[in-house]
Amino acid sequence: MNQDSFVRTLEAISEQILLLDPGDLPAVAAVHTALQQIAAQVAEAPGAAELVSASLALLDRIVLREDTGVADPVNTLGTALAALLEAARAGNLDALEMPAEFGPTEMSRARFSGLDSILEEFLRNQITVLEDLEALVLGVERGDVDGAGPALLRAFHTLKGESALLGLDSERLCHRIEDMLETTPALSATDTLLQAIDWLGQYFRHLREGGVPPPPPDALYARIEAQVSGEGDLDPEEAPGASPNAAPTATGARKAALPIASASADPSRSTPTAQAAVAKSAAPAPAVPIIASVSLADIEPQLLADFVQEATDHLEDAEQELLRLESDPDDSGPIHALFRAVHTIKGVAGMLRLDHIQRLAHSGETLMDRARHGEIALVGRRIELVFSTLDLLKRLIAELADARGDVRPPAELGLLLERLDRAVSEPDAVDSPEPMDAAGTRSSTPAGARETAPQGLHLAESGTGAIPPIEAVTVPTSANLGDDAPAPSGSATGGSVAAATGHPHTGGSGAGPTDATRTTGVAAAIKDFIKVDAARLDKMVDMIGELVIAESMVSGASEMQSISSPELSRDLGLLNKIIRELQEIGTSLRMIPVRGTFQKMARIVRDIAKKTGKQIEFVTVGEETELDKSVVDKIGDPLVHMVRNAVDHGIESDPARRRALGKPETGHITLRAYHREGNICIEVADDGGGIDPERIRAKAVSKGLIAADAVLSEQEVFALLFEPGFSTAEKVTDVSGRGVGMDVVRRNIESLRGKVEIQSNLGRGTTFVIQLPLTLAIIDGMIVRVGEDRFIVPTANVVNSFQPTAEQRASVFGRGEIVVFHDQSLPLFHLGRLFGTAAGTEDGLVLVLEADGRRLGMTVSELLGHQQIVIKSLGSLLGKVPGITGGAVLPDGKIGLILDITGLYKLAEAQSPHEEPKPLALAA
Amino acid sequence: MAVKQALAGKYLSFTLGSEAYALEIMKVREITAMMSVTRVPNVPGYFRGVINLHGSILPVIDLRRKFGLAEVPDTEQTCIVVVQHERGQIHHVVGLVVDAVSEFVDLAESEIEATPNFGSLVDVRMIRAMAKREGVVVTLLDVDNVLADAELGNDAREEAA
Repeated sequence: MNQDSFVRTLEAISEQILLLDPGDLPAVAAVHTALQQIAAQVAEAPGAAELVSASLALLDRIVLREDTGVADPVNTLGTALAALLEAARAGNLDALEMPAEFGPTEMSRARFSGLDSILEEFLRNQITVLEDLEALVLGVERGDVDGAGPALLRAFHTLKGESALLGLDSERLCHRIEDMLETTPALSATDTLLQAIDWLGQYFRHLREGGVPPPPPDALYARIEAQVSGEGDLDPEEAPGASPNAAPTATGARKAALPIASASADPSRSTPTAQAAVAKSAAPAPAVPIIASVSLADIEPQLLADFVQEATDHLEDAEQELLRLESDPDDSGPIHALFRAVHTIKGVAGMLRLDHIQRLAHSGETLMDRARHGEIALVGRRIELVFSTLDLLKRLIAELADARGDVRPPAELGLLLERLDRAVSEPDAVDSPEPMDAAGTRSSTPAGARETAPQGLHLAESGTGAIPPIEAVTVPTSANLGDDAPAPSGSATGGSVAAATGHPHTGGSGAGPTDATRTTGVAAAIKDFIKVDAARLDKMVDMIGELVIAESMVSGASEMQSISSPELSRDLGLLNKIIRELQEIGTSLRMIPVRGTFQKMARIVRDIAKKTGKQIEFVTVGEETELDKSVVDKIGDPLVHMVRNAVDHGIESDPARRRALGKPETGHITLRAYHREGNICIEVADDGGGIDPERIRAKAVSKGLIAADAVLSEQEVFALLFEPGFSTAEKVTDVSGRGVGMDVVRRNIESLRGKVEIQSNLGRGTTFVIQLPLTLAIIDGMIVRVGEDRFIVPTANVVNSFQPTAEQRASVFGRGEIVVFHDQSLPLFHLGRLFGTAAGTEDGLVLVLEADGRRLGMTVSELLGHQQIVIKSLGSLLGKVPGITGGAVLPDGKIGLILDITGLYKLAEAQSPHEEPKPLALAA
Repeated sequence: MAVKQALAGKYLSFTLGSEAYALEIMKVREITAMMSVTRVPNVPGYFRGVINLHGSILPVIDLRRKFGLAEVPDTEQTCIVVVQHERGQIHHVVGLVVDAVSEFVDLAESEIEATPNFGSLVDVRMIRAMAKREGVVVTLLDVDNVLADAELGNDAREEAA
């Protein structure tokens, strides 16, 4: 390079930095660009290159307004440049050493106490970052290559930059990987990538928790070298430093590299884990399937909690995939996703030294791995085994949540491990592995293993590039393979077969319904996520709510009305618009899709259908529909009840009966989520026998719930199903009935301020519709005055308001009042009496309210307005107050109480008709 | 005496009529002027209701009612002492209506006396100790017990979501 012009460029940049205002983005960007050019020029000199790349990372952080960890970042940059300049002038860039203030290479954790908080933050994030990376790699392997390659490169680049800034050893590895990814397609290096990720996980854990640092990943460097020089993925057995492995390997196939790598032979993971195990003398080597106890004492509670949370999510996904696999064994997508989920759990469990979970995940993974490579078929007993594995994993992980100190794995862990290991090793007479063909490829689907028509995948003619298109055909694989399936060449062997089978629809015939989700899955993994404490989020949403109200207080103030300034009103309009948008964003932050909950239902349907021996097809629609997280969390139990009832009692147990009614023998249950009028609806629909209103009626009469001559609408009859104790097990089926736990269902849903409705058509099926508010935080409310108090009525409960004529009002025994609305006689409530405040009879206006499918009239003095209300609790000391859901800050800054209409019913019922309404104590 | 030593420290003193009381300063979050209280039905009578404190809803207990003293109209002096109380997972913040706040006092060990035996006339659980300061008897309230006694909702935390 031209020494002089280089020095001049450096001088110019130094000057720029001297005057740099970190807030002036164009200026920062200009420095960044200039430095990038320098980076290219000093690429040959390691010391200088490192300094420049660290400076660039620092600039990135300045631009992103992230914590730079340096008191004066601009000054630090200046120092870096000065050092660079000095070295350049002396002509010894190679010998450049990092200035002490900056010095990432020399930086050690102990010396850089100022960086500790960044380091902590960084390390905390790496758990998810590595998981995402792993997901990406597995995605690549599965065939979701779109964007995954660049995303991987980007991720490793970021990690490299951050590692450099923090002076971590991980920089070197990331750097090598980055180099590798620039020259080698990710698809041919997935094993190396996974090993690198494993090592990084180990290394970061060491930094987080201390303990034995992982040995330098020399073996990995060698692999990367080999990769770059075109030798492809080495089998770890050949890789230096790898320990011998005991896991069953498929003969010499390269695709076997991954299972071994992730199994006990993984050089980077198993060594320290094994060391730890020996040190604690609690966990025996993986060959012995008994783990006496696992200590949780050393695990940071937050890490453990994160693990429980994430592993639970992964298991949900896994289960979903397994169900898909079961229903369509020829779709090879699920097995990969399944493997990925369990692999992730294994990895994190290993990091946390949860040996029992790691061991189980490992054994499960080994089985899945053989399945995903087509060596065995996951059908029949094996699939049950995988279900049991997921179940036990779920249990073990759930136990962690409340465990203290030591965890003692249950005895069945040993049994299951044995069964798993047997299933992996024992050759199956039916689904023995496909023989290798001459070119060394192998069908990824064992022929003849299917319970249905033999079906396989064959490689289509155009197998030139990385991913040969795949076509699903219904010809036995053996007839097909070897002659019209050309062996994919070069690096596209192994991995790409597995990868390509993830896209059966590329051939046209078998597009999986969730394939779109699959692709978005990868896109989502690329997106950046920030984990935020939910309490902080809630606080922010709360504050936004306050802002909305404060704004309406200001713009609604009477003084404001008297100002006639177009500018002011325009500015107020703008303010209003911004605040509305802010409110929308705030609300959306808490929204999560219902997918997870829906997936759980699929499992329940499967299990009950199996138990009852019914043929049921379960379909979910609208899984991506989003709901407030707290709603999603609470909707699970009611849905379980409803779905269980739909399978157990909804669908007829006799297929002949279905046939006689002209319905297919297989029952259908649909779980659907959708938006309706600003609410979310979740529907459980079955095409079973339907509900006979007459039988319910008869039953209700016999139970004394209603009088024999009561006049009830069909809706009201159905609503009886939700009455506590309406029906019990043995009679339920007679009324094609639901009722078990239905009162709980309604209570749960109403606690979410939702409603539940039943639509049923005798003989054709039943649909339960749950209607839920989008969010729990904000409701549409009507502000009413009752005497001297103001209350808020949720608009969702308001049917109408009217001024009844004298004929429309009547009373019974001088006390029980009735109001006639649309020819319907409704009980008329007086808040004043219910709450014991005042008589309130003089109020002329009646609000017609609806809750639980029942209507009532309520007298009010005045309707004051209508607005969005942020619901707040009345404080922990008061807890739940009968008839009141909570409170809200009204536009005048005072608190208004939100009425709970169902609660009002109960209050009214609690007031015995035989005595004067008890003046319930009212704080006044 | 060790107990007395533990009781020595900073207190906020206030009055209810002619009686003087004091709260540990550690329990006091802030003192605010009397404001508009929204009454709440179906709760014990000593709850005045709820107020809007910086955007949050805060239940307010009228200490006169709580202790069974005669009620008087609010005056300029009437104010709300916001106190917090923590017990395990439970964290309550509550306003206490008092006639007037007097001062912050530093009570020495020598000024503190054990709670005398009132028999059944007085619920002594609400009292930590007595103190005598410049000839005035001050009752040191046990905020935790006053609030634990007023605690209603067991499922309050669940509702907070």
